[in-house]
Amino acid sequence: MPTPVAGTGNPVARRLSRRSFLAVAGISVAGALAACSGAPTGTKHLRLSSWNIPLDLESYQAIADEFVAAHPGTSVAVEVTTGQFHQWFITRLAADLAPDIIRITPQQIGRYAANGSLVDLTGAVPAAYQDDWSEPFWAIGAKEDGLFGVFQHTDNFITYYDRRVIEQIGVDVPQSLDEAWHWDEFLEIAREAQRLTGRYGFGYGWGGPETAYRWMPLVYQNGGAFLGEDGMTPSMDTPEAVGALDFGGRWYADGLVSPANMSKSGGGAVGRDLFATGQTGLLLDNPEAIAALDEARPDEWGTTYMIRNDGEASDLGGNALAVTRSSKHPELAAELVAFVTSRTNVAEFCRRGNWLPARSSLDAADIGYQRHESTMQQFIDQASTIPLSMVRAQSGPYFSSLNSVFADYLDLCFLGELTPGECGTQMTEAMRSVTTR
Amino acid sequence: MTAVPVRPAPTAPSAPTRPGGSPRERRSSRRRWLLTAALTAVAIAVVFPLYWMVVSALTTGGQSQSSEFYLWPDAPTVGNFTEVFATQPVWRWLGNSMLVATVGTALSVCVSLGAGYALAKYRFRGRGLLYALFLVTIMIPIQVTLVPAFLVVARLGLVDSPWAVILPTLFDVVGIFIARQFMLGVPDALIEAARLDGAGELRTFFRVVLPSCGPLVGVLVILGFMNRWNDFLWPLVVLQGNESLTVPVGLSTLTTNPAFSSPWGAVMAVATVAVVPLLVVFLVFQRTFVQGIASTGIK
Amino acid sequence: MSPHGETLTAAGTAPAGTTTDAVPGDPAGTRTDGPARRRRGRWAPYLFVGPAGLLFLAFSLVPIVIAVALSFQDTATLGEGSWVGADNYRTMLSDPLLRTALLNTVVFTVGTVPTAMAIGLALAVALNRPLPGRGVLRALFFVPMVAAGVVVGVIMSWIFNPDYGVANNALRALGLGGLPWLTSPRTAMVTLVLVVVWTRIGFCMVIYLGALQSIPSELREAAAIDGASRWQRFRRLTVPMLAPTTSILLILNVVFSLQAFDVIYVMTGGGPGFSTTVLIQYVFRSAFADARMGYAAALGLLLVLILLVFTLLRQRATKKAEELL
Repeated sequence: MPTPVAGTGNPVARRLSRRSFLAVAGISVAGALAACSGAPTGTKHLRLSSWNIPLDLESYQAIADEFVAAHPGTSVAVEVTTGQFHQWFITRLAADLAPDIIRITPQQIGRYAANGSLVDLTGAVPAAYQDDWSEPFWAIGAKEDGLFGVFQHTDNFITYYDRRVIEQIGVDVPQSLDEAWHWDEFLEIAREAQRLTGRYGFGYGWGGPETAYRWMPLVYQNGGAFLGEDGMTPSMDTPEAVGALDFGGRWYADGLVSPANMSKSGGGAVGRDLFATGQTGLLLDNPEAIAALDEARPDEWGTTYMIRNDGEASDLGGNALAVTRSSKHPELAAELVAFVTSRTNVAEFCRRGNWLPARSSLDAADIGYQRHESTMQQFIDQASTIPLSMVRAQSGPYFSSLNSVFADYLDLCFLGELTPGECGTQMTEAMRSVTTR
Repeated sequence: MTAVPVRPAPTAPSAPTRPGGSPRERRSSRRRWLLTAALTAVAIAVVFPLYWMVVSALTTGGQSQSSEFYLWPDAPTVGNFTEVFATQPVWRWLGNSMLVATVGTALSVCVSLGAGYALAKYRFRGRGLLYALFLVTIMIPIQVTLVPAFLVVARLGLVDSPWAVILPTLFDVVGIFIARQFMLGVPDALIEAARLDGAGELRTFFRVVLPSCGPLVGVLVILGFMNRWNDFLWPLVVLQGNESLTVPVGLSTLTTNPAFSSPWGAVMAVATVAVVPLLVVFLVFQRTFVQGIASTGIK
Repeated sequence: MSPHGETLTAAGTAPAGTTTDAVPGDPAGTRTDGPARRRRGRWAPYLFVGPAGLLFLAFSLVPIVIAVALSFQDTATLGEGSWVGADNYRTMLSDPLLRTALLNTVVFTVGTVPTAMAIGLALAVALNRPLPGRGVLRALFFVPMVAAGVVVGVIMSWIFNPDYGVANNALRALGLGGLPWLTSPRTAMVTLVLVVVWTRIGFCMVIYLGALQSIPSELREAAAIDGASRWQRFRRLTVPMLAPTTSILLILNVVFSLQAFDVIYVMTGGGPGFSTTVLIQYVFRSAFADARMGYAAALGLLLVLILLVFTLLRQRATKKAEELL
């Protein structure tokens, strides 16, 4: 046992502990200050948050640097949006600490535009901008009470095919949007493809429950709609919508699509992986697949337009830029949004990141894609088929909740747990409980 | 209550206390080898998923999505690692995780030791209530308190600094619980003797109680470090900027996003990088850890 | 506190017990500066527990109180909520998804907790014996615990992919058909349980191992000499001696299972259909996908209530869960 030196131990220890406590407190103040010191006093500092795609982060930073050069006394930091977007964004907004500018998908923007989390950009964005956006694309940010975001770039779904498989089937590939394969033709080709691959016919480019909406174009291809003309009334129980569910159910009932390739089953880009390894002959997917396919099987694949039925439609991918109410310099932030979405900058951003422009006046040649110009032009052409009513539905205030409902019941229908009719009725009912909340 | 030392020399036959001749001994030895074989088989199955993570990180895109069965890639490559290290600040993520886990663990062990000591060795007003309240907090799911807790941290001006991650997780109920359990076993005679020798309360704690807490500290450090290294939901909301993220949060920027599909090779590489350091730490200290748990007397 | 706890405490504080009312922090006034020291000593426990108490207050209690307040509000939009009384709690009664989630939670908890504990105990008993390579084996069983939930989810959905996951590739190589794993409502829950048990057995094993090592070996040897068989010794001696450990592990495991979020979120997102939607997933969905903070808070408090009731029942039933409440 240690022999205590009477009288000294206690105060020393106490002093020590007080000192270490002060040290902790001191560090924490320093840490807090350091966190705020990103901008020297007097400088207007903006934070732009993007998905963690290295090429895009570079593009944003390059554009931002140009902006800063033209605006002395400002600085811009490009940050990354972490996983679980809503959790991160809601929490940050609640404490008024969200980034100034947020890169946000059309499906996410509606709630925040409706509940006052985003700043109205009317006035800050040149009036002429609207002319270079299609009505659906402009509608993503333009709501009744203001302009809450500018759609920067898009992507959508077209059909990828395995050259060898298509040659063996001996079918002609559509050369224009009008010639796009109708559902029945497509299923027939898919059956042949399945016979040839020995596994599956085709794959679909879902990426998890958050992107269940990527299947919604099928509803519109059949003349149906997710929400009625008012953008509020659930309408998945119409014959057209139920017909689309029936079509989707057949994909799985007939074994044309892998059961792992369903929106709610995890595992990443299953459809793409299967196509890249020759386990399907066709793939409905967005431009992101190109890089993976170039690596896995260069020159063995081709592309054509998205499938169609009575109507045409494709997925609404891409992102808008919006200014959050946390911003201390909303005018400056809005100016940066306008700058990033200028014609030159949109073209440059799309060229580097292989995205599709949100501006109508840009075609593949203007942008100068490094590879696959004709495929990129197909995507750009396909973008014109995205229906306004689908855009309104997906960028509406309740869509995050509605998308969960869509994912739930789509799953149940495709798994055969519900008939298409039951699914339509129950999905509509569940949607109604959201929209009347 | 203190550690019964782990019996040494696994190869030593355990026969001496047991009556019976050599056939029985042989049978028991055979059974021991059978048991070892069975356990080894199970252990391989248990470790396999992490092995597979490493293998997947070393496999090229084409083979890892094919339907052929393989246990080792045809052409192992570190391409996934070099690419993700080149395009993402993985070293920074590791550094941040290390900082948060080290500082957080060090401070939280101090907090837990103090609280455990007070709850075990003093009778004071409100002790029972306080302990009960502490214990109830482990039942509150973080999803419910996330936004309110963030508001508190924001009000304190801590957001976006490592302290926003460190401070709120310093209060560690499981740690306090384990510390209290252990302290209950520290003989009061020891404490009394120190007091009779004239040591003050703090001196008694630092000079007499603490030196006997070695195994406890070991356990608290390992558990605390592991939890902090792997913490996800909280750092996710309080950290900002790719350079300031911890490894699990950095990993999440590459997965679970609706706007782009996850780069699979990169994800596997980062997952490997997230697990391996912890694995090494644990394998080095596992013996101490098991003995430490034994001596904390969680029972 | 239950009898067992009493004995522990009583044994531990026996010498102090003689000076019952004088706070144990008081060195019995033998020093010349008696009164001052006595006063100082009285502060000691508060000094020691102070940091924990302050942190608890700031980062646990305050948020909890806010969450409780939220549960009586409607916060469909962000910002200020409006007070709606017990509406959120009333909504729960007629929420069909909540019923599904509760049922799944029970299945998941009952599936994971006893399984993980039984395997952990079996491994601990086996590895408490002198076996060749025992140290390495112990370490290997503990390995899954070092992986973060997000990482586990990512790896496991990769392994269990029915088309190109290694699990089915191996089954097919053996000439067996593949299993649907996470993609069928009939197998998804079982697969999840399997994965979560995998992450848990190491922890259960280590805690049991610790407890086993503090059972005096003379006891076991005495029983062996008395002619008790291995099984009898396990059943009559080991299991009762481990009862307090089992109690704690049970409660900890139930807490872990009820709060298991990352793994399920990454692996199934609650699907296929609703087959793996457990309560905590639903809390998350309400809070963030639906932005209904008030309802989410109410759901979260329901979860806490379930845990509390479980803990109290457990304590009543055995009178041995003293360490946790």
